[in-house]
Amino acid sequence: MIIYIAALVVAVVITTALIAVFSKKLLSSIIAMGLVSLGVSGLFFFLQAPDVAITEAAIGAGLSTAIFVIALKKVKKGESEDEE
Amino acid sequence: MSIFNNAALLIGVPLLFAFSIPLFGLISKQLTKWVTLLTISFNATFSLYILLAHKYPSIVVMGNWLPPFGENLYIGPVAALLVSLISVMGLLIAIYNLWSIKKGDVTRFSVLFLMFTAGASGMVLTGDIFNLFIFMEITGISSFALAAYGPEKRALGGAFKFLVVSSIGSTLYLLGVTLIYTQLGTLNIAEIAARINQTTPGLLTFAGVLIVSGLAVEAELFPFNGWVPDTYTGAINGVSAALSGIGAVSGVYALFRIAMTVFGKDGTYVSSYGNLNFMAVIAVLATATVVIGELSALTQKNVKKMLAYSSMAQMGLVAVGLSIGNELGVYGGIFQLVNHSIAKTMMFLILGVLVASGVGENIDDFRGLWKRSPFLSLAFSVGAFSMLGFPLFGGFWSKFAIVGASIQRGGWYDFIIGLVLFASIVEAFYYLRIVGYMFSSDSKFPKLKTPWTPTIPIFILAVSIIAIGVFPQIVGTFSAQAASEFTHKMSGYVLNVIPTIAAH
Amino acid sequence: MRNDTPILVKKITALSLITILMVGFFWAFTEMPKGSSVNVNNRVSRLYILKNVKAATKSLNSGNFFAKGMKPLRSDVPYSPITFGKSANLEDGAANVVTSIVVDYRGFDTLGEVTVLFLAATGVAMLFFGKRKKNIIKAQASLIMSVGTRIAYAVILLFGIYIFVHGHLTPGGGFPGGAVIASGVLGLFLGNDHYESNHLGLKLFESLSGMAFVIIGLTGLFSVNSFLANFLPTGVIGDLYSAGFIALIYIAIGMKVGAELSAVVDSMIVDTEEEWS
Repeated sequence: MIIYIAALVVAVVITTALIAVFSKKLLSSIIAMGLVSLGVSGLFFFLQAPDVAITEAAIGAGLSTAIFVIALKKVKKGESEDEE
Repeated sequence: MSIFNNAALLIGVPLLFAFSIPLFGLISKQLTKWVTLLTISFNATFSLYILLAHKYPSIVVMGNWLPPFGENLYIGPVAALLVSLISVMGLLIAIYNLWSIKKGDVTRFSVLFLMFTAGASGMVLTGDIFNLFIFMEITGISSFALAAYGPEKRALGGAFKFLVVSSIGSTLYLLGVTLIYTQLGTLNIAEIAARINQTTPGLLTFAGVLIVSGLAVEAELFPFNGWVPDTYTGAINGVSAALSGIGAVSGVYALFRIAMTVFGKDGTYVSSYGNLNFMAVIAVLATATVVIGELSALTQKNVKKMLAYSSMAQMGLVAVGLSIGNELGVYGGIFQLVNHSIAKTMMFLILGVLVASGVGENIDDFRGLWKRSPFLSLAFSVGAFSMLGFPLFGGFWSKFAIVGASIQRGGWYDFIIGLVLFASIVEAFYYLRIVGYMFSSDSKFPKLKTPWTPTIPIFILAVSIIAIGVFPQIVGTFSAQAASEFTHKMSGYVLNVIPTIAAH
Repeated sequence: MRNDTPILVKKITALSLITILMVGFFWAFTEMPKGSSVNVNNRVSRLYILKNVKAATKSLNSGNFFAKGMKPLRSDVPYSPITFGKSANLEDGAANVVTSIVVDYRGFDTLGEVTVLFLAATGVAMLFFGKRKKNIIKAQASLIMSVGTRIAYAVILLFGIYIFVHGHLTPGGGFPGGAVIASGVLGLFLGNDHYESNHLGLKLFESLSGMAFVIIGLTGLFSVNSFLANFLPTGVIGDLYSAGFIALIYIAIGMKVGAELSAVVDSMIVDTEEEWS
């Protein structure tokens, strides 16, 4: 049973990784990257590495996604100020 | 195996003070520069004590777990020499920073500079292949931030390039380490070195390619050094001096520790296990670096950019010397590393003083500098002559040894040394052009007032170049010991760390 | 690669690099030992799991550890069963094996990792140095959001503290615990437009907990004569008061990482004005 769930997670990870690379909008790339981290943390859990899974979920899916979004917002703000 | 655990203070004390500098910054920003200075001077004193009191070869056991089970630092001749070099250079640049860093976020600059020096020392000292990665990250992250310091926008561009390239490099290195770990189940350099022939050659080769390309970023070898000119030009001069005098030293050390000790196969000339001889690969890359670096430097009108390209080329020369793989070649390479570090640090510091007193960075601004500031132009010429390898300057002995070793080796090294000598002529042309500009024409500009703080490190460095030129045995004895460590991997390294490990 | 390089050249270069890497990894994977053929007994990690490094060191010093063509005989190290809640005074008392490796057997690496994070936070703060203006997120958070984040913050903080205090017993430790705390702080920023963090407090936490880590290491150097050596009794495996200095170090790391990542969020979310005067 668990192998099917793991296969599903792998499919989600690969799809979201491709979205992150090929997406035209940076925001959707960032969200997709967050999803990749979430899926990978699930895979770590399946591979019996709960320590790594917790760290990946907290840092990869949570904090670094937020920091990327903030950075994107900052960059966009700088761009609009330059146009003025 | 002799254990010298107190040498852990070389890492511990800088870390303690780096964490406490933000608290000192609450009292006074300028105080933090003194904290950095004093901490690095502790490191310099302690490492010179290890070098001069001959406390090596010894290992430092971390956490009371003996190698190969725990982590250890290894203080051999190479590490003792290079850690002293790094700490002394860090000390001199810290003295220069007392004068040059006045604006901006001084507190955090002090933290980053201290950890840059400590991280480079750690890279040289460590005896664990994963720990090397950690120290690479410490050195790398502090150098990105240092390179971005300053009011100029070009600093940010250079730092960003460095960040991207160096992150890719360290990721490649980590992948290579993982591949080796799947085979041998250990991360200790000595144990991997002793058992490297038990891996499958294909995997070993691929892991080696990943590791060598990752470390070549730090060692500034050809296809991986695109960041060098922009980062060195963008950063403020004190940071450029640190990058070439400290960062590059640890990068080259790490590259050759992996290529010669971990992958190396002892012989008349060190070669490597696996399907590919990494020493030969590095020799080719290094030659390309020398030629491309010198030719690019020739076309530059901006002196800082020229020094950046020249720095790259000099690292290539160091790598050529080390990659020859016999004792004379390694002797020349290590000697050249010391000379390069001293001379390039001094030249960047001089450039910093000149730029701060209103002289431009362009080569035309150097016209008649002799009349305006005799001391700085003399010191700059000393550095240039040492780079060129004039007799009675430090660089002569190292270049002489490298050329001698290549001739000894013969074969296709004749071709390499031909290219290197051609590049040296190019180098002579552009350095002598600057020296000629400085001493030939008159200047209508007034005399420069040189502040006394930054002249101390410049004076010490200039004197040491001439001292090494006249008495080469100051560095020569140590680099000869270093050469014997690098060329005999079992007796020079492995058996000093794990004495009971069986021979091949 | 310059900016004016044709896009086709860039794509071909990228594609060829990716191909080289993929071919290389494929080649490496074909030669990698298969799961069944790896002798786990030869790994250092086996000794860590058995908490039997000292016996292996004895066998190494007597000279019969590496024999028969340099293959290490780690499987020869005697095996003694470890019972949760019963075994006492092991050489490392952490119930969580990962923690015992990360903090005890390879503690020096962890000190380095903490420093890496510290330097990254310092670098970010240095880049955004300047006069502070205001929060760039002007989301006009609703009442539910602003009250909810404040209530959630208490729970998140408690959970983060739980993760790092129990680092030696359960999965997790200082790094994830600190990251959890920082995500709580991020919630406060998102929920309240005028939220200001306590900079002095963050700085004090960061510095003092970092110094605590190094001082614990130096205590090891001066008492057991080895940097970062465990100098406290290891107790009964599975107890909260066990595993010697691991709990202390993880508390220091947790506080440090929490304060650091909060400071990163803080320095990124607030607009600054450059000043070089």
